[in-house]
Amino acid sequence: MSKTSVRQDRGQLVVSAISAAVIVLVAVAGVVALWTARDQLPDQIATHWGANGQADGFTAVERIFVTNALLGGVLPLVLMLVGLAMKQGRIMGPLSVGLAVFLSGLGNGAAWMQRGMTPDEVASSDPGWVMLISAIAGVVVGAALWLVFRRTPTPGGVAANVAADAPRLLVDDPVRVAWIGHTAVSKMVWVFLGFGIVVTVVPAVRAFAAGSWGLGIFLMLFAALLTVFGLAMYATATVDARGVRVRALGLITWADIPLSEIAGATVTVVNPVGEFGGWGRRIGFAGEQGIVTDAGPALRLDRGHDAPFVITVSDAEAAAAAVNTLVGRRSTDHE
Amino acid sequence: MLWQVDPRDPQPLYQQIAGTVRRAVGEGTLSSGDRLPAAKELAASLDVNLHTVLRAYQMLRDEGLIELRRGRGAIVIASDLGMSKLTTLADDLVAQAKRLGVSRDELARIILEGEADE
Repeated sequence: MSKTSVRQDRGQLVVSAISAAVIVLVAVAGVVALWTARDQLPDQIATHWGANGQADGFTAVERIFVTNALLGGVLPLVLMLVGLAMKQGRIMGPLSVGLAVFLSGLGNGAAWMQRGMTPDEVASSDPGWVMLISAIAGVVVGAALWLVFRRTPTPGGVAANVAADAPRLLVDDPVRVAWIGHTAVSKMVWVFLGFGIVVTVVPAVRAFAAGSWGLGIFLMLFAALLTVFGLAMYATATVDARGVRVRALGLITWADIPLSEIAGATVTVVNPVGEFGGWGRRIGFAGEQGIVTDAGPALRLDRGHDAPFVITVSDAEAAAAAVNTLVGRRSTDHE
Repeated sequence: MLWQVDPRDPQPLYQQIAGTVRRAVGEGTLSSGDRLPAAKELAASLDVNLHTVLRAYQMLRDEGLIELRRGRGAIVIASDLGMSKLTTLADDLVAQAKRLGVSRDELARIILEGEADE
């Protein structure tokens, strides 16, 4: 057991260290790029824009470099460290790098865009396209790093470790067993989704009306992503001899955990806000991961090399029984 | 819900799958409007041929228990619980008879005698 925890720590330490290096590189590169244009920058650079599209916050040119370095470098580094402390370096590292790319791109890009502008032009400048391009770049870079660094199945898998009182099915080994159900979704998820769509689509329409296409497209893409991920809270969960999968809308895979990575399953009771800070694909305050969509009973998978994974499904008892039955068989497999 | 098939069972696999659905409807685990898993997914999960699941679904449709809609999958309409329960009982009866080595004719005779006794 101690051997596997050392391995796990080293893995996420490596990911966090690489992420930190990339964050610093991105932040420095962004500021240096802007520095090359320092002679063309206006004295007061617009750094915040109001709902009407007019700039309403300005930063003096001599302070813009420090501000951008702090925003694009230090903030993501703090996020990366929080992730490391939560033992979620493999996810939070790439997420922090994505954030660094977005913030550095936005901060330095928006300033770069104001090269040679008069104060009036600065006031009516439009950072929409910079925001859109930075967001896309951040998502692409973050997702690429996550793909590179995500945990690959451990060779040989983990040992079965099913509690004596954990639910099991009373079936013989040759009987093929599967459990197929869906996530239970709280009404609050739909309320928040509706609210989120309104507060992104309304400004998007206003941005289009004001001719700010970049900002409008950015907000509409955000609304579309929000809708897809919101609707995907209602997902199909499958337990079978291959493992446990949670999929939605035929395009989002929330979880795909091979049976060989599961030590056993129990039923737990989940409080989304109190334990996970909300609904969705979450990392809990206690370090658990999960797809948490409602309060109440949930399937909890104990993974030997990784944090426990919680899935709020209808009929968690039967799902846990199916997992434990299949995991129990693994130790008797001779393949 | 739980799905099980036993390859050793003399009852064909598609009958076992259909039986699972009938029982679930009878017990109230599945009710009208519920969607059954996509045939492809269920086949992969139970490690059976796709056509085995499709045959089970078609049988359930013919019994009026589910509706098959292109693009929407199999949806429980559960109009006739009595008939489906009877079909489940009959399936179990036939399976049990096979295990005991009772022939179909003998089983039929037992049923007819039971009827005569009433």
